[in-house]
Amino acid sequence: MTVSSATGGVETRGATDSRPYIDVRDVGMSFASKSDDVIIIDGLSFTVADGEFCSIVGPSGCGKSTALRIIDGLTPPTSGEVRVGARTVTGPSLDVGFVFQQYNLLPWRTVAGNVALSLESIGTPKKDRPGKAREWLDVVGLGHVADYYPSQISGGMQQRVGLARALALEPRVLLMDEPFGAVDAQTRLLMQEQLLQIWEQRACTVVFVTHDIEEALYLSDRVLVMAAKPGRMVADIEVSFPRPRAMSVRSDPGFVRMKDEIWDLLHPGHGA
Amino acid sequence: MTATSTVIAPPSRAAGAAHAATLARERRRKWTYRAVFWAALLLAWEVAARRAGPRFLPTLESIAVDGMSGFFTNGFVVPFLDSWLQLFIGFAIALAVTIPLGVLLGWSRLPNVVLMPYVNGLFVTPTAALLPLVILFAGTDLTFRVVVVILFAFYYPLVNTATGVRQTAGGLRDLSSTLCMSKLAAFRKVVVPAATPYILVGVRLGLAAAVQGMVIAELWVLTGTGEVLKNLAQFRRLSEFFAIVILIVALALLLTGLLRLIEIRLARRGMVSAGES
Ligand SMILES: Nc1ncnc2c1ncn2[C@@H]1O[C@H](COP(=O)(O)OP(=O)(O)OP(=O)(O)O)[C@@H](O)[C@H]1O
Ligand SMILES: [Mg+2]
Repeated sequence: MTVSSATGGVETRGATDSRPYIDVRDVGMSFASKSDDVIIIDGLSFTVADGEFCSIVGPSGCGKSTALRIIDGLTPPTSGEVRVGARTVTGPSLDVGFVFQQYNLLPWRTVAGNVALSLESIGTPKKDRPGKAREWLDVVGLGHVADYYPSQISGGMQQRVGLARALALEPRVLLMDEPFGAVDAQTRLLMQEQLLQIWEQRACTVVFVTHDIEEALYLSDRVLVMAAKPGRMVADIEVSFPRPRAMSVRSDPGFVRMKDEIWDLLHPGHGA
Repeated sequence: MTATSTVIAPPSRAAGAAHAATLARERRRKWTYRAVFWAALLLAWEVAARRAGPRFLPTLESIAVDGMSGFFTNGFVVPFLDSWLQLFIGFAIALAVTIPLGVLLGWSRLPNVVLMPYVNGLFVTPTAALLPLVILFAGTDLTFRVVVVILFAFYYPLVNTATGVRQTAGGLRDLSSTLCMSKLAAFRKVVVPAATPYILVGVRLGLAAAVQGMVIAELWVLTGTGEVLKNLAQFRRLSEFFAIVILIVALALLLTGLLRLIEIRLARRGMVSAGES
């Protein structure tokens, strides 16, 4: 199976009408094991336009996190290359923010201190850091726990601290690896709204990995569907509901149909 | 608290107080058990001492009164302090070398691959067997004793630091890379703090080993407290002998206890727990 630019009944907008900002070119990734190489990702190619919100869904272990790491420059691919803006990725850059699936907070720093870590990296003057950190925490609704240590707040809250830390870089590109995976259902809806607002204001380019098809459809301009063994792209779906999107778009018949289609792509053989 | 609230009560509120009370009760119980066990040990000693006689085992009273007063009046204080001076010099040098070396071993592959076999060799080498060799090049003065302390104190801080740095979870390394930290910044802000609990445990174990090194070195060349102990044993002045041994152990316990306190402090501040006491 190869990339199909549209799937049954889904309206397609030409992907060429804005130039690509992220360009993943024929990326392959394999790890050496005892007997032979295990291929994790094979021939992965896609582009994300400047300012586009793009989600990736796929079964567990299909290489979504690995793909994001390669785009960020945390892991070099075994073959192929990635371009972000004008540069070929050889390592991380400060105009790309990464939200980790496993939070990766520093347990010995307070919540505000963790956000300040980003501010230190981008050279925010020392005296401005506490205020700035506080602002970003307010954005994710966590201003009230600024002085807590990560061990004193819930998993979902820790995950939002990770988001605030990435936002604090004010990056051109946001790579988000299941950023709301541990966030409770109600807060999750609020965070989605908040994220869309930030994305619209800042006009950044987002690659968003999630297991939640509805979340992917609600947030994105495009949803990329991956399959496992080896990790590869099976569909590239344009989501053209007008913005701003109301919560009620989730019950729109077209929305529901796309949700079913993606579900079928993720569970081939189960029928619908 | 309502179901939708995401606020967690700060540790100082009512729930925190109840938790503190439980902890206090647990602590009291722990110390009660310890006290009972100690009383039993002391009683057993006293019974054994009375049956064996003062030539073999001094009574508690005799250690506490004759022994301790002997320690202060018979000129044992100076060699005692001298021994600890040697310990501190040796231990400080050992830490100054082992901690940076441990960071290097934990961080880079090449030094690790090349040096680790020797470090492990050090662990299985009976250090005391090296002493004749050390005497050959370091003589029998302070240098010798300091070198012995270094030898004894080397292993734990080195290996623990290396382990701590290596285990700085891949995730935290990813964090320092994605934030484009310089190597120095990554060490200062991420790697060293993450390894600190491990390093402290290493320092504590190293200190205990250093105390052993101190006494063994002095027994070998018969100076300082080692010489005092040897003579006291020879002339069967066991009250003073045990008084000094107890003082050494007590001081060592005090110092390791202080280090343990620092570990607990850091653990409270959210750092990884440094293990059970
Ligand atoms: N360092 C590594 N060495 C060997 N195999 C690895 C390594 N890192 C990841 N893998 C393998 O690569 C595959 C893809 O992993 P990845 O974390 O990218 O999956 P994922 O799609 O993000 O899964 P999930 O949805 O569960 O987060 C997995 O099968 C994993 O076992
Ligand atoms: Mg993943």
